[in-house]
Amino acid sequence: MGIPFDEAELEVVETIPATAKEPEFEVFSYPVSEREAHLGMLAGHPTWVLTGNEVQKFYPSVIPDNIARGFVVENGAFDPVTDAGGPDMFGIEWVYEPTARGSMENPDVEPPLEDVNDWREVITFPDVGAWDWEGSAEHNRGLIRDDKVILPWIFTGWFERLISFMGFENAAMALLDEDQRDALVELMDAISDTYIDIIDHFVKHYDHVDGIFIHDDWGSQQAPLFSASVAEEVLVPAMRKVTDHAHDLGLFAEFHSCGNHGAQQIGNIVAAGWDAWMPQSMNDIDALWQEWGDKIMLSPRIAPNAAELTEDELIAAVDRFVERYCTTPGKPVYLHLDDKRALTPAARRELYVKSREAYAAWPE
Amino acid sequence: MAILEDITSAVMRGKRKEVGPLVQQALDEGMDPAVILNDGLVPAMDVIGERFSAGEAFVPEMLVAARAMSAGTEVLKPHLVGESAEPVGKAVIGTVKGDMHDIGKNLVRMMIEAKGFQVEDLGVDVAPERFVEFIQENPDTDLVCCSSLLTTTMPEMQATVRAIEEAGLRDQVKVMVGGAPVTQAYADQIGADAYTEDAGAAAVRAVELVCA
Repeated sequence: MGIPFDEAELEVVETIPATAKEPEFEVFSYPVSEREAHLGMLAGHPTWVLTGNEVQKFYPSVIPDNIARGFVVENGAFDPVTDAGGPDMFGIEWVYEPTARGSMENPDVEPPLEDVNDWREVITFPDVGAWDWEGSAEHNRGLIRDDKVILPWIFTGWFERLISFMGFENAAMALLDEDQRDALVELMDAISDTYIDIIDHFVKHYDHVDGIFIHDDWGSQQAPLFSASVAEEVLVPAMRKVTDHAHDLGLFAEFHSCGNHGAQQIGNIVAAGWDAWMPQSMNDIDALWQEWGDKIMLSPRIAPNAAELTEDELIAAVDRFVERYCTTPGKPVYLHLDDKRALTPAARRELYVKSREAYAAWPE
Repeated sequence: MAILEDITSAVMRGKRKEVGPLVQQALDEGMDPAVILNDGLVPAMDVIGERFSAGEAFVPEMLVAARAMSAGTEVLKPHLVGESAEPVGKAVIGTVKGDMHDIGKNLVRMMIEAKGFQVEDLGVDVAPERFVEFIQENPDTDLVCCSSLLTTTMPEMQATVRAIEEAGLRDQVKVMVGGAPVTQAYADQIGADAYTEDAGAAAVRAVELVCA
C-alpha cells in the first residue's frame, strides 16, 4: 500500500496564478516532494496523477538550440519575439514566428545538405565541450529546486534535425532512398553522440538532472509521416543509444512527438527506450494505453471535449478517468496538457484526491 | 502491356532512375506517348494517392513517386502532341497570408500535377490580392488551392474567397481549401467549392471540379 491520503494534504501552500493558456493552479501540502512523486510514478509507484507542474522549466541559453527555437528559461529575462532565432548548434539558421509561438528554419536560406552521403563534408557538428557550461552553471546557481524534476529538452530530435539539414522533402525522400540509407543511419548515430555529449555536460554542471526530454515530430494531423519500418530501421537504433545512456546515468527519458501516429509507431517508441510520451489528442490514447500502458507512461484524456464541459461535468469526467486509469497497478498515467488547460481548480482538486486514494491502494 | 506495367511499378516504387529509360524504351518501341502517360505513369500516382488516403502509404512514398513520375514526364513531354499535350486544367496554389507551412501544399501541388494539371505555386504567405492578381493575369486559371496549417491563418482563406468574389472572378474559378485545422464545415462556411482531407483526395477532387 502507498501513503494513505490525508485531508490535511489539501492545505494550499502556493497558488500559481492563471495564465492565458492555463487556469489557476493550487500547490497542495503533498506527502512527498513533487520530484519524488514524479520519479515514483515512473518507477511504477505513483502518488498522484502528475500534472506537469512537478517539473521545473530550465532551458539554459548555453545550448544554442534553446535560443534558436525560442525556449530559454533560466535566470534573467528572455523574450522570444526579440531574442529568439539565429543559428542552432549545427549552424542552421532559425527565425521566430510569433503567430506560431515557435521557430522555423529560415526559409530564405537553402538547407545545406542535398545527399546524405555528403554529411561528413557538409555538416559541422558542434563542439559541445567548448560551450560555456561553467558560466551557465554559475549564472543559474540557486535556480534549480531540489523538490522539482529537472528535465533538459533537446528541441530538435533526429528526423527534425534531418529536416533542418535538408528541407522536408529531401529529408522525407532520404528515408526511403537505398543509396542514402547507410549514410543516413551513420548520421543519425552521430547525432545521438552529440545529444549524449549534451546530457553528460548537463549532468556534470547543474545541481541535479532527472531525465531528458527530446522532440521529434513523426506525424501529421491525419497520419504518421513515415512508415513503422522506416522508423524501426533509421530512427529507433539512434534513439535507443541515447535512452540507454540516459538510463545508465539514472535518468528517465521522455519523448515528445506531435501528430497522429495511428497504432503503427508506438511499438517503435517503446523499442527506442522512451519511458513516457504524451500523444496529441487526435491519437486514440485509450487504445494505446490498453495495449502499451504497462511499457510506457501515457496520458489518456479525461474527456476529449474537456474545455467545453461545465465544472460538474468535468468533476464527473475526472471520477470516471480515475476509475478507468488509476486502478490498474503497473499502468500509471499522467495528465494530458489539453486536460490540464481545461481543469478548473475544483476539478483538479478532485483529480488529486481521487488519484491519491486510488494510488494509495496500489501495492508497494 | 509489360512495359506499361514496368513503368507503373517503377513510379510506385519511386525508382526515378528506372522510369526515364523505361519511358524512352516504350517510345522507341513505337508506343503512343499519350498511352504511356495515361496508362503507365498516371495510374501509378492514382494508386499511390489512394494508398496514401487509406493510410497505407506515407509522405516519403508520395514524394519519391512524384519525383519518379516527373522523371518520366520529362522524357515524354517533347513527344506529346494535340490533346494529350494539353493540361487537364490550370491551377494556382499557395499557403495563405501569415502562414509559412508548405509541406501539405507541396504534396497537393505534386499530386495535382501528376493528374495532368499545369500548376503555378505562389509559395507561402500568399496574400488574397496575390491570388486575385494571378487570376487576372491568367484568365485561363480553373482552380485556386489554398492551404493553411494554423487556426490563426484560416481566416485568410475566407479573405481570399471574398477577394476573388469582389474582383468579379468567382464564377471563373473553383476554390479548394485544405490543411490541418480546416474542415468541410469551414469550407462550406467560407464559400469554398471543395475541401479534402489529404493530397491524394485533393487531386481526385481537382479533376472532378474542373472536368465536371
